[in-house]
Amino acid sequence: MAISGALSSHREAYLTAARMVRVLGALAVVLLAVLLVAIAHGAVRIDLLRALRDPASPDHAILMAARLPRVLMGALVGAVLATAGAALQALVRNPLAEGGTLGISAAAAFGAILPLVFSYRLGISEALAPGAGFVLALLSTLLVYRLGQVRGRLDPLSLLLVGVIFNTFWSALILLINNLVDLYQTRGIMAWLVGSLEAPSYTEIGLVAMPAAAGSAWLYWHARDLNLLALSEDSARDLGVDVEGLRRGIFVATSVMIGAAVSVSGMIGFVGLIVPHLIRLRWGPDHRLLLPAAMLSGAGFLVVADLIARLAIAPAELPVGVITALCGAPFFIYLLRRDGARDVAL
Amino acid sequence: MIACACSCHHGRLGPLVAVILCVTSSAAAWGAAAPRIVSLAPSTTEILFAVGAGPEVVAVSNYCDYPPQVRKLPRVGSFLEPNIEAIAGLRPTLIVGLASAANERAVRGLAAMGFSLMLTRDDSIAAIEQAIIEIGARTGHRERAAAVVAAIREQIATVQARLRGRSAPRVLMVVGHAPLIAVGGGYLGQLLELADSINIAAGLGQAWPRLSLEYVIAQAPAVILDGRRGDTAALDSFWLRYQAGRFGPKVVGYPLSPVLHPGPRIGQSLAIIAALIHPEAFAPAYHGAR
Repeated sequence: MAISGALSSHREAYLTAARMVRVLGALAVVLLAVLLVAIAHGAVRIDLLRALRDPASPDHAILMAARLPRVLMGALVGAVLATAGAALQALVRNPLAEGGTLGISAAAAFGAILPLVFSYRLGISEALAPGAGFVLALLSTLLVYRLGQVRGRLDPLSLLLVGVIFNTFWSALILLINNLVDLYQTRGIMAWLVGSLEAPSYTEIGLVAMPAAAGSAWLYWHARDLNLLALSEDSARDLGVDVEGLRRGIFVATSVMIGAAVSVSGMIGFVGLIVPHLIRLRWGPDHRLLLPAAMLSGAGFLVVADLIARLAIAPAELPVGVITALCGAPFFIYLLRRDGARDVAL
Repeated sequence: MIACACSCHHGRLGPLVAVILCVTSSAAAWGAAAPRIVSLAPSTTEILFAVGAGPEVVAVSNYCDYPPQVRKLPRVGSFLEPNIEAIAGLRPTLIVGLASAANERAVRGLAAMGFSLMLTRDDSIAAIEQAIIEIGARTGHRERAAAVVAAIREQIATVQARLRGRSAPRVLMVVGHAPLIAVGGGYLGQLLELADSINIAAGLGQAWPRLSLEYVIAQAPAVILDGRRGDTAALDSFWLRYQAGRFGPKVVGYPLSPVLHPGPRIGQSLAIIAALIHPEAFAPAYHGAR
């Protein structure tokens, strides 16, 4: 994994304020452009000026009730998945880590499916789905965290293995439910397995934004410590980093973020994996730049993927998770091999 | 048991004779035995009971719930994933299921074991009627089957007579909220057409399209038929979000059974759908359906 060679192999090894501003500024401009394009296009052609001026117009209803919340949720979920993915990769010092591999996503999806499936039989509201998903994501995280410890210390490899096993377990429970419900509900369950950004309410956006903001802020605050941890556990400890506390913090912050996002969007794969690696390949592994850059790029990437999902067979739709995997995988391989099989470095 | 008894009695006549005798006698006993039918889909189960072959049904699929007496029968998987061991153990004389590309392997497995297999379709009114006729013929209930089809046609004619001269509203029929899955084609699409309505999800080339909400708002259906998963308040608040000032559809729930069950009750389903879309055209009794 060539962790040691990573820093020196980059053209610009040192992070300066000017470089941060340049990179993040450019990414912010791109994200803004992507958001505008995504808001301007959809299954139905609308007149944006009329939508803004006339609240009684169908254009207004389409923009405000369907398109805008969806684009915003896409940006939010993409930002969360990419930021949390970058932090988790530093935590377990493994380039394959993301919310999916640690079981957080599958737990959230399983929790969200329960009220959706049983609302009709038990008389509980479908609106409980995100809450149930979030609670189960936290419970699962707690278990993975407990079981990932070796002699009282969080062991990255054990954590990854336990996470992968939990991911399989929660996914199996989802498939079990899928086999017990009637045929008309199975497509709804499949949608949670691949991920979908359909029809969020502004309340849901707010509920995801709060843990996302809190978790990201905590991670940015500890970006320097993340650098040391990604490099070597021992040197981080020698330099005065509370390694155990840091690991706990990363795990809690990322779980809260991913749990909130997945309980409204389902298991959208690849974003948490691809985006951080692209940023590392292009701008290096320094978390002070990596985390905000992953946030901006993740948001843009998912909004573009969802735009394709919305337009490809309009007015019918594709699940966005299919698009992220279809576009993301070949593009990632291309970038990885372009400069002659460079190591995937943390 | 018969085979075993045969080989004991005729053992001294030589193995060849014994085998021939055993095979013929057991085959005769098999042919004479009471029919044992396994049904692999809700629609085929309903048809079997409607044509009068119900007493011969020994097992049904996991999804079967109508008529009520099928709830007591053993379950042997679904038409997509039949439990081959359980089915073989029941020694069925006939297995009735649905033709589907997704269950080809399971069907081939059952056929290879020597079971007689009958595959039908339930994705259009014509296919359902054909399935009723064919299942009736295969189980020796031709007249009852013809009567069931005649009854469906009469129910359709009655509904159409009531609707004559009414304008067709734009309608959306959904079976799921997250994602929004609508009725595009299939037998339900045909029922929407017969119920004198314009289905906004028709013509997309999919029987169950996953529909864009933007499209729903732009098409502004006058009536939304919702499968009512969850309580009334959740249903109303879900659609309220998209009515945003202008577009205020009448949202009505439909009973999942019989509406989502293709089979002999499609005439009844049509009457329910038509009454929900055109309540003014139907007797007050139908208003209770909401």
